[in-house]
Amino acid sequence: MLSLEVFIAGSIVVALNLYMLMGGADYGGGVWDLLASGSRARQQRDLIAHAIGPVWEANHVWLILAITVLFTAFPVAFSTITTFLHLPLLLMLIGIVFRGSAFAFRSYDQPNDRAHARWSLVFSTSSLLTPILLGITLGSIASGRLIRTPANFLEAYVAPWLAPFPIAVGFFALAVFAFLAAVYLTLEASEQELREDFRRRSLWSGMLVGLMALVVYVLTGSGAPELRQRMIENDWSWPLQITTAIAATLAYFALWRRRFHLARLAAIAQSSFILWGWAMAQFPNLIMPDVSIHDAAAPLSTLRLLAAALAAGALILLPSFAYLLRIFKADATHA
Amino acid sequence: MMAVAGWAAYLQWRRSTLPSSSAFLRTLVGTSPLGIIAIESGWVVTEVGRQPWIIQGVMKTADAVTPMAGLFFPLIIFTMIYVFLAVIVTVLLLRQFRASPRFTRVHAA
Repeated sequence: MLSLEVFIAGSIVVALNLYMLMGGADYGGGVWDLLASGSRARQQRDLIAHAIGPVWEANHVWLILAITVLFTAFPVAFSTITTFLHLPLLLMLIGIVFRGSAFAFRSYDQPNDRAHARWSLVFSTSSLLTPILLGITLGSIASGRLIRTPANFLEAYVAPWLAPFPIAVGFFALAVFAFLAAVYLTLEASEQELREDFRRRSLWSGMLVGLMALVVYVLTGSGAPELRQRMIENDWSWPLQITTAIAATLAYFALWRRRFHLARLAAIAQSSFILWGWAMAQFPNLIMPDVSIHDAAAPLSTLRLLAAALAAGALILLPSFAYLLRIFKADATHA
Repeated sequence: MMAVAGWAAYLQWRRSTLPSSSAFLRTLVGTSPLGIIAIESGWVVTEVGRQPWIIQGVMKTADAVTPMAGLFFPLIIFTMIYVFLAVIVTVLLLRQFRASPRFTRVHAA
């Protein structure tokens, strides 16, 4: 049933979920900054900077939480993941650093267009690459390709992640983040035309999400066979897939009919179900195919202390976060 | 740093205004790097002092390092990133100082 280690593993997925909904949308915003086009390009960029500005540093808390809980509660799994996925994690780290710094430097450099454009390019390209690397990391873990007794450097440090399935998951993550960002931005926009711009973008990226979901599913056949097996066998797998599809359809319908608040709720639900679908398909393994939550767990005393710390932390963190979002996001949605 | 703060508190208590004597202000300028020095000294004591152990008495740092070959490259990359960020921050801060109106006024006076 719900043992302590399962509960803590679940909290990692919750942290990843919140990271996707908040930080992921920040990355998506960076992507739309790169792809800003048309006569309102500058206004689009300004809107994105305005939306991300107050909250982007706080959003990374969730990634830090996920990683910290992982290495405290499941040290063996953590060491396997971070050893063999050293390269994509390194690149992801560089992407996160450059994204944050470029965003901050853009505000403090000379207020001329050349400096602004230079930092914007760094900001938006790293916003594009980081979600791909995050998806590659998760895809490699799910694919069961981490070889514990590798023969050479390539087999150990490159082969697990430089494969069709993890790369497809990377682009899938990018599509989901871009979709979330576009949906959020329809509600952040103050003018009608800007809202329409992002409505169009959310419709296109929504289709891309569906397409990438299909590609990823097809690739599980060759790239992640154990995962495919689990998804077929599990009882709740099909209900979860159907719920995801319903949420996706609802999001699309709401976007089409310009019911943007509903669209945001549905998009949040859809992307959360996608993430939990992956987590539940992998359950009870932390790393496919054979590192289970139970095997990798730290001793019970550690888990107990960690659970207490998580509870205390949540009491402080969640209300603070709600307050932060309420201050900076409340004004935009009265549209 | 504590001594300077104590001195400021004493001056305030004596004169009931914020201290603004030239000697005090010059001391303030001199204390500004002390914070960084204090932090870095603490880190050096912790990280260098613990060698060769990463977990005292249980595991040596050499044993804890990731087995991936070619760690030299990530080391160089991270060092270059830090240097790059430090240079950019310095340049931007200098630009901010030069652009601030008080700077021009102080230097004109």
